[in-house]
Amino acid sequence: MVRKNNRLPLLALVVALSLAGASTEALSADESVNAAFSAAVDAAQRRCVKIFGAGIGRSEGYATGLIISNDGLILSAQGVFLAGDRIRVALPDGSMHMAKVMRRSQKLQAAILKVETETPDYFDLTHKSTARKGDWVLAVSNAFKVADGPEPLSVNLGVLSLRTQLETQNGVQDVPYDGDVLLIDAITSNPGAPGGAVIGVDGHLIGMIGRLMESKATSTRLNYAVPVDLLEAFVLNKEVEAAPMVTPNPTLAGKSETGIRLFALGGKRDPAYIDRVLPNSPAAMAGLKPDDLIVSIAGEVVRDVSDFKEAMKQLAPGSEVEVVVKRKNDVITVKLTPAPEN
Amino acid sequence: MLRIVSLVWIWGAIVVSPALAQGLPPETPLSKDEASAVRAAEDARIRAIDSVYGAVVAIYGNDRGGGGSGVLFDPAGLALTNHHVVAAAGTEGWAGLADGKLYRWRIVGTDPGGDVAIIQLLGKEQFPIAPLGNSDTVRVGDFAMAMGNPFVLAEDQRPTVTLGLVSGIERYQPGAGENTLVYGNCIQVDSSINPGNSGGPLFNLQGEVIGINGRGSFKERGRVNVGLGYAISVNQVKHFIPDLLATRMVQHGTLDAVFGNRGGEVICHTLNLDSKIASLGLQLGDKLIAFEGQTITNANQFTNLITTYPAGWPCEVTFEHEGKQSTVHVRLTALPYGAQQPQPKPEEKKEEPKQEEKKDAEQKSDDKKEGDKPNDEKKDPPAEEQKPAGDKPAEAPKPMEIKLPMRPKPPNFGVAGEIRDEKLNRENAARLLDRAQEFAGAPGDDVAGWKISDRLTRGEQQVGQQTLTIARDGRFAVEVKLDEKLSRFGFDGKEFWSVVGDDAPTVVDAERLARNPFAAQGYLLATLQTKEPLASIGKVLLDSADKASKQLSYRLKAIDSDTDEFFVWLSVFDAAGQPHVRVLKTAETYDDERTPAVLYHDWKATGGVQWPQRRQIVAGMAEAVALDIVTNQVETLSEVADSLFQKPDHGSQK
Repeated sequence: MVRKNNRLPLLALVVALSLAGASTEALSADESVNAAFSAAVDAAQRRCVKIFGAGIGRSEGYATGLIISNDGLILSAQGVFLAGDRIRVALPDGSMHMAKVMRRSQKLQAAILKVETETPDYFDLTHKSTARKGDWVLAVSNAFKVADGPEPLSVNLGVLSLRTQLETQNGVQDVPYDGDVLLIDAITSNPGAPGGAVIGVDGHLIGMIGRLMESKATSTRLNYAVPVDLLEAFVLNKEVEAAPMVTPNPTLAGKSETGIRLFALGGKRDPAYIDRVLPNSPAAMAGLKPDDLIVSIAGEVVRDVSDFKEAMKQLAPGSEVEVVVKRKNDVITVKLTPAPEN
Repeated sequence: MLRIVSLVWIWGAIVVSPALAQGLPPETPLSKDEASAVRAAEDARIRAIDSVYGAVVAIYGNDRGGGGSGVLFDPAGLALTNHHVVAAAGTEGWAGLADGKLYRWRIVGTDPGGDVAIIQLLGKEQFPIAPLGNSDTVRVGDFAMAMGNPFVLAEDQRPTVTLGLVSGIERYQPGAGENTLVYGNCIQVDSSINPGNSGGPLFNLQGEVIGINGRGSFKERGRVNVGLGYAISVNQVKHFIPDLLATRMVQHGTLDAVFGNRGGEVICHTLNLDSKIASLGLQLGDKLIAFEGQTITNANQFTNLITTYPAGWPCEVTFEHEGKQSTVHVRLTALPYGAQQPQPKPEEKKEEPKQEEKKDAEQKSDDKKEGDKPNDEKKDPPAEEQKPAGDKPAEAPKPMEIKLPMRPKPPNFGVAGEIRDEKLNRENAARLLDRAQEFAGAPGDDVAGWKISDRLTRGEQQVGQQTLTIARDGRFAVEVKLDEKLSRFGFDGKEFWSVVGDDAPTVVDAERLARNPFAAQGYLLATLQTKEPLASIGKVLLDSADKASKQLSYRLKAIDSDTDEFFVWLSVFDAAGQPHVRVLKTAETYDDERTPAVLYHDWKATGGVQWPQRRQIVAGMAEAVALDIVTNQVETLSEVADSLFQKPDHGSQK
């Protein structure tokens, strides 16, 4: 995927160059290369705010927001910082205003705030960026609370990778988000960045940096943006219910049941001896017995209990796998077809 | 690399379902014009990288361990890096360049306050260098390339390049410990900055150094790039180069006055009443208007700015007291470093608190285990020291905080504010004088001397004239007629002499003669023609960073046997930011408001040698002009008679 797109960022440079050339003709060639993003960044800086609220533990009490109307409507991500009753917003000129939460979206983990002041510069959500897959994008946010008062926000550069759905409904990931996301390769999953703007080199909005998502399995974080059309639907109160999910990948389609129960001694590194086999379960039908030592599942060596648990996660209901066990002095291979978990 | 791929794969497995990917506009192939523009932009970038690739340094300690980065900025092997890199590596070690070779390096000077250090690579006549740019013109959204040695990847010493964007400018990152490692007015980038990049250069797309990469925001994220790196702006670094070459442990400056925002104004709320700025009229509640030529609109901006100047820097400060504005000139006083900085006897001072600390920690771990062990060992510290490691219980709930043994002696970077290595300092001073001579040029073989005729003007009015006669062997004679009074000064090859008005001629030493500003110009221009300039006064040291003719300069100091001093200011960079050493100013002192100094301007060549066509006699830090000296004519002399430079037998006649 990466290889396929790697010349496209350069296309964005050409677009950026032609933009820079059009707006400031006096720039020399060298300057225009360096200045390719200045116009877009300046426009975004005038439309983004710093938000300060409640913080607790590892949840930061600050975030970023997008001004989306001339009368003080601000879009941001959901988070602990919105929990308290004192939410303060620093407008681009550095002035501080108290904000109220107007509405929240559970699906997008987004919220609309309002400050009682005029905000002449705002992102027009109907005016979407034309950025395509592989184009350069800019992320503007107050990551790590680096900027203070009227100081401009931080800008990161990345490439728009893909628009896709998050597989969250199946319990694979513990993330409450429901909808499409734009994947970007700018590192935006930092404290304080949620609610920041993701714009194209044309200065228009592509999306908003969403609430922090961390994989429980790998502790890695996803760098993504909530697409602007979904935000627009939320603001206009026209959110559609999510279409029923098609299972795209059998390995993720919920847990399987094999009927194998291991000796549970509590250690992760204990050998995977079968303690019990549930009656009429796939394991019983395959002929597995108590005291069998599991050697491999679907070709993956099972050294211990934790390997067994890992292997079970990879099983898909209905697809047959080979299981190798050691019974006394024999090595026996059986075929097992997991059933869906009840 | 493999690990990174696997992370992508893991997320990919969870999140990306290409079959469902939808929505984004379709890709279209590049047109011919677009493709060639892309190629041209790429080529320009690669050319820029090629031009500076050889100047990026991988820095290791003596044991070839550790690993930081640096960048060569002077062909004599001088390289910029971070203080925290040399603090870990020591005062000498190994440095790798893109040519694949390892060179020895030694410490020159360090600035713990601003996290900058200069090291010198040895073993080559001319090292490749990268030009230092101007960080004031850097804008948010500009491309920025970081180069260096992240994760000590390069077995062959060739640097890693990472491209990103300037994410923020004029950022402030607080320091660690007392006045140390403060990043003021720094550049924030999303170019990947990882461990090992420290001390390496940040370039613009033209291949000019705009900053020195030093730190990143890593909270919660491990010590790897998360898209927020910080580079010390190169303009700050430039202010410290003279002090660092002087082998000082540099200190940062303060006005001894603290300002805060009050109702849109920047107001002084804390003031040391003994400070220089207070003696110049600043009072509590006064409003700060401008600092070093920049209008101050908020207190953070001022804090950012002042962080970038060394102690002793002469500042122009404008403030408003009860509606009346005044502009004063004041030298910044030094911010002290905390006790954790190496002191004159660092070993003893540092050991003691550490032992206490250790004992404390042991006591605590002991307390936990008091239940299952009689603490009779407590009186015997050595045995106790073994204990935590010896009977570490298998069920220890939390790994003990392991304190790595510190190197027995911290690297000796000298005493805060002081010159550490006089020999190295004098080497650097001699090299700067060489450069100033190089700039002045060498005369042709047929030139024996020069005769310079000047007009003296005060304001618009001509008030006198002077003649300088200079031989290429360093002899000189000055004849000045100012306000109808005639004075003569000279050097006949053996003796310095002076005749003021009708007084009898006297023989003086060089330093004393140079106290007269007219004699000083003759002396300076003549001594530049000799093999060892200023040697006729005594030894020459690089003193400090300073301002002369309102620009950054090296201040050199010649000291004679009576410890009398004579100061010469040399430029560091020209108007375009290119390294450029020429004489800017001479004076007997640098702090006195009354002592006259001479500024040298408008250099032009005659007979193969550059001469300042305009000189000014000025006073004080403000360099208030008392007299202009404008050259009418420079003649080359094919021969010079000895009589030209001889001490006259009697006082001047009218």
